[in-house]
Amino acid sequence: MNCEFYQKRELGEMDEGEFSCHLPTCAECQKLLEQDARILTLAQSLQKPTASPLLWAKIENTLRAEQQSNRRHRRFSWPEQKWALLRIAAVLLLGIGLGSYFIFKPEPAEPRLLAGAALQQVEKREREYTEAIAALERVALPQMAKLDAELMLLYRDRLETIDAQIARCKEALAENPSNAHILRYLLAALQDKKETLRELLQSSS
Amino acid sequence: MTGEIVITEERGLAMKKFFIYIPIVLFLAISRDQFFAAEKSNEARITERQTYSQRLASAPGKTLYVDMSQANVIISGEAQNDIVAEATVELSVARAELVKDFFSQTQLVLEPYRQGFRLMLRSPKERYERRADQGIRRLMNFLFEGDADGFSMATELAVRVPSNQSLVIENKYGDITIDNVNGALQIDNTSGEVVMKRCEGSLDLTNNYASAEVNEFKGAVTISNSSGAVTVVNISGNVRIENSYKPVRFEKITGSLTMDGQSSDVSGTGVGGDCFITTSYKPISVSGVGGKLTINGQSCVVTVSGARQDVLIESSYQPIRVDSVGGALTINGQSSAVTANVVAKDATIRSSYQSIFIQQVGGILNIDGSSCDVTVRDVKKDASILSSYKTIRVDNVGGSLKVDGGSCSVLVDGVGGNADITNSYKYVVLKRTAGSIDVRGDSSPIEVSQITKVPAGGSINLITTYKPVTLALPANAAVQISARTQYGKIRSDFPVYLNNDDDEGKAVKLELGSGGATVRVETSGDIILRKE
Repeated sequence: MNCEFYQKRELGEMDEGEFSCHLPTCAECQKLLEQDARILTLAQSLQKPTASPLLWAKIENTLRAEQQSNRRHRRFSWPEQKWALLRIAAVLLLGIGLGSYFIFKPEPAEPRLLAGAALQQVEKREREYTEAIAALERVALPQMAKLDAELMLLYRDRLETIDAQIARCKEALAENPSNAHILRYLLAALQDKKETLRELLQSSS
Repeated sequence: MTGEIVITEERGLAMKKFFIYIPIVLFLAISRDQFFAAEKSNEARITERQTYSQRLASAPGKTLYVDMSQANVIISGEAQNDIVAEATVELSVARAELVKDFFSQTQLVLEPYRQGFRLMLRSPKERYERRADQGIRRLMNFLFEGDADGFSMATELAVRVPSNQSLVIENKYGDITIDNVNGALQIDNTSGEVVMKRCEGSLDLTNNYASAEVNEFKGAVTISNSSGAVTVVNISGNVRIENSYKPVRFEKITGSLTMDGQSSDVSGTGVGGDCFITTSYKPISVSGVGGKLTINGQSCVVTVSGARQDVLIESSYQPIRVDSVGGALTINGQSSAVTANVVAKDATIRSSYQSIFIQQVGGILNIDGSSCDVTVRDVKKDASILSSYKTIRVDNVGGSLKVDGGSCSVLVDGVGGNADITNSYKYVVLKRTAGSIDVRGDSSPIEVSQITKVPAGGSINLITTYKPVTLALPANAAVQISARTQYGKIRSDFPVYLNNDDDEGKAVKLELGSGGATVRVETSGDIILRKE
């Protein structure tokens, strides 16, 4: 990192007199100053380039030659040009036409009574609930033994009722997989089971 | 650079490729959702809808049987004679030709049936469901009926009926809404919400796993909704509800309410007749009952207010609060904290191990609270309290007071009749008594003061062991006092006769006024007779 005195001097924020007072006390500034001097010396020793005679003329000629060559390449015959343009236009039309079709075609009516595109979301939610239930069951079910007999029987009955409802919904869905109503009730039963297992854990703790 | 574009042969070829590739990329980008985003099962599915209608003239006294499956049913009663039904069927299959085939074979049937009419949807659903079979059945279906296809169907049925139409509805996995229909209404649904509004007649509703709501019904209502919430509002008739695990709400029932629930949260207000509620492990909150109220809530928090007649509550382990009972109050609460305010007639409370607080009882009070902290205020008639190991506080009993409190501290202020106290090991403090006093303590300090009236011919017996007895008497009391202590001292503000002949400690006698009550004080501790 350069000394701030050196930087200020470089930026013209410090005059030479002040810097020269600082210089004897700062090894870093002395080193930087030596570097500057060496670079200057090297620069001065470099040969200045000298233009060769007729250089500009040579450049002009080269440019002129390139221009003539480009004109030659761009000079298609009219039939060739026409076919090229037609091909380009046809491809563009095809692309725009197909793209417009897919952008503007009417969306099929989203089913009201069947799950449609939301089916994936439902299936994902079902998997999430099933995993949560499996995890809760591992912890909660062994805790049932800690409850008093009546409460334990109540929870057992409740879980059996919910399991029966889940089984009924799955049976109905096997025959009618996209029925939104059945899906809703399956999710409700799974949620109910999850909450019951949580309640059971709280009661037994 | 001069700004001119030089098109070489190579560049021309590149441009041709550019103008070919760009539209292809454009096409793919726009249509990617069509080809790549959807799941394979949804990609090629076709969903179509078709509506079917039927109409038939009804007749008074006929019943319409609605036999549906997996349908949302909406029935409304109107001023008309015809039954008009419209079913919208939504179908999702993998092949377009199946849709046409299915719809062409589907019929909405409205026909005479039994003593009425029947409405149902006939469809080839069963045959299409078999297409989803697995294993050998799927192979057989494939061989004989074509490729197996995923099949889904749902129905929405809207029916307009004459307002006076009896209905029998069977459905599952669909919601039912009935509005403005008067007749004998029988509904048997599964896993679907049932909502009824502005109907009359009689209702017998069976449902499960979804809510049932009945609003503005004139007539008897019977609801059985397993694992489903029940709401009944504005019912002019008797209501009977059976449910489990879900809440029950009621409001404004002119008749009686009988609710039999398992682990159902019950709350409501306004029952004109008797109210019977049974549930467990969930809160019960009832107010505004015109008839008798009976609650059987095992481990339920019970809150009752505004019952015009008798109230009987059985519960356990949870608090019970009762406010304003027009009749008698009976509470059997095992280990329940009890709070009762304003009971017009008699009150009987049984509990244990928790606190009992009751005030403003118009009749007789009986408390049986084992190990209960008891607080009683303002009882018009007699009060009887049994407890142990806790404190008993009694303020203002108009009649007689009986307290049996083993190891209880007893604090009594204001007894209009006789006071009979038995306890042990804790102090007894009596103030402002107006009748005979009988305190029998075992190692209990006794203090009696501010006697408002010493009954002529009555008695004051203060007997204990090992602990002091302090009796403060009015200066003008007419009493005959006999005080004995085995080992303690006797201090008296009144002149006494010392009985030196007593071999069992010290005894004094004194007589104030003439006639009056008999006072007997016995202890093995000190005796203090004070003049107030």
